[in-house]
Amino acid sequence: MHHQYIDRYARGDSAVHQLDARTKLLCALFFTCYVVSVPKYQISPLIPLILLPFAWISFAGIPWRFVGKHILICSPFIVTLAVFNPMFDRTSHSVAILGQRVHLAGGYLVAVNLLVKYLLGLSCLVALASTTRFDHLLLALTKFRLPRILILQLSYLYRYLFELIEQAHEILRARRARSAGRLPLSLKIRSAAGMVGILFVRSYESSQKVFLAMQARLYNGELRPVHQLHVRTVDVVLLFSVMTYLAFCFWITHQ
Amino acid sequence: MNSIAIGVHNLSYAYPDGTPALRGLTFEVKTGENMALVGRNGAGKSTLLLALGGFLDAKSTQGSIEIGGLTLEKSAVDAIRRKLGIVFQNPDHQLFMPTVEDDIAFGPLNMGLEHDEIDRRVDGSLRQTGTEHLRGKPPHHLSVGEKHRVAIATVLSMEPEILLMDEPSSNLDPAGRRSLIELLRSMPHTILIAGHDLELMLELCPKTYIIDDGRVVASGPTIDLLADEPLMLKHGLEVPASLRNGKVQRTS
Repeated sequence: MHHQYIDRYARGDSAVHQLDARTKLLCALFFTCYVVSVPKYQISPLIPLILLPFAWISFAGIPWRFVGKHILICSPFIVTLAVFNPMFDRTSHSVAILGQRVHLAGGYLVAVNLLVKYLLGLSCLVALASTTRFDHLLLALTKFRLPRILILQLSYLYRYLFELIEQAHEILRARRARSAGRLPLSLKIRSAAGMVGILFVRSYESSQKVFLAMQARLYNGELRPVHQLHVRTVDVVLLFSVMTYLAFCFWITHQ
Repeated sequence: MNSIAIGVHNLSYAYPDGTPALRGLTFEVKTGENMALVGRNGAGKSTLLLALGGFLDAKSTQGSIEIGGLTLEKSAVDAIRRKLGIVFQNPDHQLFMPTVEDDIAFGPLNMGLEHDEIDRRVDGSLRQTGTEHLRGKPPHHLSVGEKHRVAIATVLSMEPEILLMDEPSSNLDPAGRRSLIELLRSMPHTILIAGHDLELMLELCPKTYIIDDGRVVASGPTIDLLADEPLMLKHGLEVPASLRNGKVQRTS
């Protein structure tokens, strides 16, 4: 079965791909923190921030169509949140649009602010996931001293999520094959509950078998990495440049 | 090469609910031998492999197991697992690390080997299983056949003396199955294969144990046992097509 893997381009060989995972992770982290920190009624401070994900994705050679697709996949949740804002927040705010001062309900500003933040945050996340191998990301998190249990869980989540999706697809297909046309809603709900139960039991059984396989290869509770990460001068320069860029963005919006 | 690689004597085991799975099972595999373990579903094949790996609760187990000269007991489990390469039925359970290379290095890393030695073993296992091109790939990007080969590589890197394989050809297409047979044929290890793929057993294993209801019910040359129709039918099996038609006499 074919899945739209989010890390499909993570094994490229561009200069961005070759950067240390820690550098990219820190860049993404600082960038996201900055984006999130922009006040909810402001939009103009977000505009210069578009440069970072744009440059990241362009230099890495990730197709824009791929990025757009992933942004669209997650958009319903955030769009729903955004469109309801104007109904709840009716405070009046004066904003400059093309040199003209106009008064707008705060809800509209919050909606646009949310959508732009979402666009920036997700494109940065897709850029990170598409230029960094997941095992390198886990190694970077290990180096940042994240708890071992969390790293282990992330590792297995990444490894078995696709298996779980495939099993869910198979169960759904089997239900469709036997539903003989339209399935009444009540039966749909009941069978969905059963499906979730089956998936849970299978996951539990699988986890036990995986643990047996780990024990067979002498696992004693400690996950040891094969590779080590190496920081080069270019990583330090890049991280410094990104921080300078964020500081510059902050400076121009507070003039 | 006549020493005993696996010796099982009067082994019994009951599941936690009291259902007996193994009932006084006795058999042995000599060093360098390829042995088939054949039986219907629920006969006790997989449970036996788990027992050999020291995975069953000792309190519910009676009898003795000897692997490579070591008697299986709590203090010897690690030493025994170093001698055994267990390939489980579903390769997705065997491949749990983010990349193929990480998975193959998992065992050697746990053995506390130096990085140079680990690299050498990973390279060797990839080469032996013909999976060098899959080195950096995540397991969920592999085909079923590739997963089976990599699952074997993950235990070869531990340089075990004995390979235990549970249904190694399950879900493989004919080409994948053929390539697996050739791979197993090229290995010098003592191999114990449990399963139903009787044609595979015929090609790889000169000797067979048939087990049913937790007991060994027959043992002997594979070709003789598998051609014995009344015996096969009695224990929920059937004579493989190649023997039924009298076409192939393959086991040496």
